[in-house]
Amino acid sequence: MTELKEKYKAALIFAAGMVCFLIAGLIVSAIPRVADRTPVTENKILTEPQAEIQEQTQESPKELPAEWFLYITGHVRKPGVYKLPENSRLFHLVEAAGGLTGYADPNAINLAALLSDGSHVYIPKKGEKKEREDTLASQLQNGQTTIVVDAFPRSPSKKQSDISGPIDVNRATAEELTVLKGIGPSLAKRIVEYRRDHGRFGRVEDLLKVSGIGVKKLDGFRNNVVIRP
Amino acid sequence: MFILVRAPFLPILAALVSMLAVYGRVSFWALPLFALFVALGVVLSSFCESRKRQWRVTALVLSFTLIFALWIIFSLNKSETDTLPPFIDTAGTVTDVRAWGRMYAISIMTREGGFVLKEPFASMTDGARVRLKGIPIPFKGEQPKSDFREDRFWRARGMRANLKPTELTVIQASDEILNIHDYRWRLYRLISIYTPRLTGAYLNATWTGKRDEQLNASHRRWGTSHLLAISGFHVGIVMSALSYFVGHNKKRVPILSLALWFYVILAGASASALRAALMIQVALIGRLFGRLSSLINSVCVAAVLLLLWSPFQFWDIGWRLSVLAAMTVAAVMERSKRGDPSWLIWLILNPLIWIATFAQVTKTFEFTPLAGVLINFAALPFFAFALPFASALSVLCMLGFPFADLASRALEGAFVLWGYLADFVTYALPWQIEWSEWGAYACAAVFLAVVCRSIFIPWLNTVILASFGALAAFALFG
Repeated sequence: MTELKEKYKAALIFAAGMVCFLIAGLIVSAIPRVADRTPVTENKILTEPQAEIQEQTQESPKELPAEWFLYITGHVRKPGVYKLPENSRLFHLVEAAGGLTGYADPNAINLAALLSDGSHVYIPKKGEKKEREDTLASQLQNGQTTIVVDAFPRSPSKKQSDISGPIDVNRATAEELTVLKGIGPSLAKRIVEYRRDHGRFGRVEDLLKVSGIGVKKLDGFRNNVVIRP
Repeated sequence: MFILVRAPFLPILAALVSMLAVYGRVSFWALPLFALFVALGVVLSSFCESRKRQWRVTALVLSFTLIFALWIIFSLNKSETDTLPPFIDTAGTVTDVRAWGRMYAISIMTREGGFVLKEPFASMTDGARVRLKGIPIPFKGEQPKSDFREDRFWRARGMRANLKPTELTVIQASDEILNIHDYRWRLYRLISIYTPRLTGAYLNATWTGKRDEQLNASHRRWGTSHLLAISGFHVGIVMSALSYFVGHNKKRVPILSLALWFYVILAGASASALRAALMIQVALIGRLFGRLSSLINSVCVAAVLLLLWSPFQFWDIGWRLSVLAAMTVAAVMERSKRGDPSWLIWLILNPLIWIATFAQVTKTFEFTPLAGVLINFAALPFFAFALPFASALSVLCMLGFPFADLASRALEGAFVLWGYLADFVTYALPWQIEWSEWGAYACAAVFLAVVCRSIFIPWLNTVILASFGALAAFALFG
């Protein structure tokens, strides 16, 4: 009888062990990760603080670490294309390129300047800026009107008529945007700020969401802008 | 509950491994609960007969499981929410240089954590002290169409982020007397200079953990890669030789322990080497207190300690293969202690290790050569003799002993002959087994059955546990 009891006891305890495994399995299937359980909230009207909290907790493509491709030439030790984290500044790029050479002019550049994806930066040598200014003056005296100056950051300082192709509003800097018809420095800044806060523009018409851009203004430069993914 | 007597850490290891397998699929708070139920399930399902104080030990096992699970979750969470500084300017030591695709990955340990540099050339050597400035770049996480996770791979090796260097200057190692990474480099150079090519490649793999790419490819073809990775085999040989010289005295345990850890760190501190070292350390401490440790429990203790040190080890193929192989060896040895004939043990050991590691090997490397089962029968005795002999000869060569060079060349010939033999067997048995669901399931079931039988779980319970356990393993890892 005791032997039988012992036998059943062993079987029962073994069965209890199996039940434990089943409960463990249920925990995995019944309690998914918090992120997986978050319901679709598109149809919900959220109050502003709730929306802010949700924005902070949810992973959006904006929050993923992005990298910028930046091109640096001129008087740095290792000129070339570098991949840096977004919101990098010029000193990050200069450090990545091995630092300034002894010929570089640190006064001609702003090392704290904020860069943008796809920028090309040229580091001038000492005296180069003055040389260029002198050349510019002499060229103006000779009656020349179209002169390309290596400015920093190396953005196109051209008029709209000189633009070789349409401007990508998802990548252009504020300076580049000012060449568009009807876009001044303050409006260009607003476009860049809107892009930074809300992410990339999906289509050209999204520019209408920027304060200060109406349908007429958009029609004025529509043919000179492009949206690239 | 025989498991509580023979291997109380086995339920803890099973619980932690299962918990890590579902990590990311379940809420944080549910993970310790899941681990507790798995541990309790293992303890209860291994019940054979009533013993004294078994419920107290069960409570202790569950308490340890809970504490360890919380610790691991805390560590993982801390690593994943680590905020990198925008720029670092510090000094560090190169701890490892390894081939990384067409580049070289250089690991540098600094006060701010470990950083990985990807360079087109191996421009630095182990142990070099460097001054570095740069921008830390986070490791890549899950990538589409790829099982490899850069973040887990490097974090298992104590690294924090990639580094885009802006300034890298090699400085003198004036402030470090014991720079073991520098010793490793010096030893690598000495071996490369004073020994013939094949002997040097084997000795470098054994003593510095640096593998020759060509030799590595050959061993992968033969199914004997484990001979080049530092494992219990190498650590065992070194410790056997050392214990012979140290002899039996009062300082035996501290001397052997020091030598053990020096060797393991010198050889690159891979997961398998650390696992073997921890096992031997547990056995040494056990002997100090007059307690003989159970082999299976030693494997479990070592595996659990490695997970507590770095939970990312769980995703490291080295850790997985090492634990599976060691567990199989330990399980078979436990049976041999109980009277199973030794010739049978040695006959089934190699095929069982092949079976136990089948799923992991084929999943990672896409195939496993069938010839490996046969080659390993000869490989283990051959290398158990050749590696210590080659080590002794290389020392004699360095010291300029007469005829040492001649003996060294003879040994080189033996390594060449070994290569021919292994190639012949691979040619005769050219089949490679690829990963398949049924194959993986069957191999997992066989492995679980071997472990269950080693702790004397009855046959019926073993069959049930192995069948359902393999199914669960398939659901968790598949």
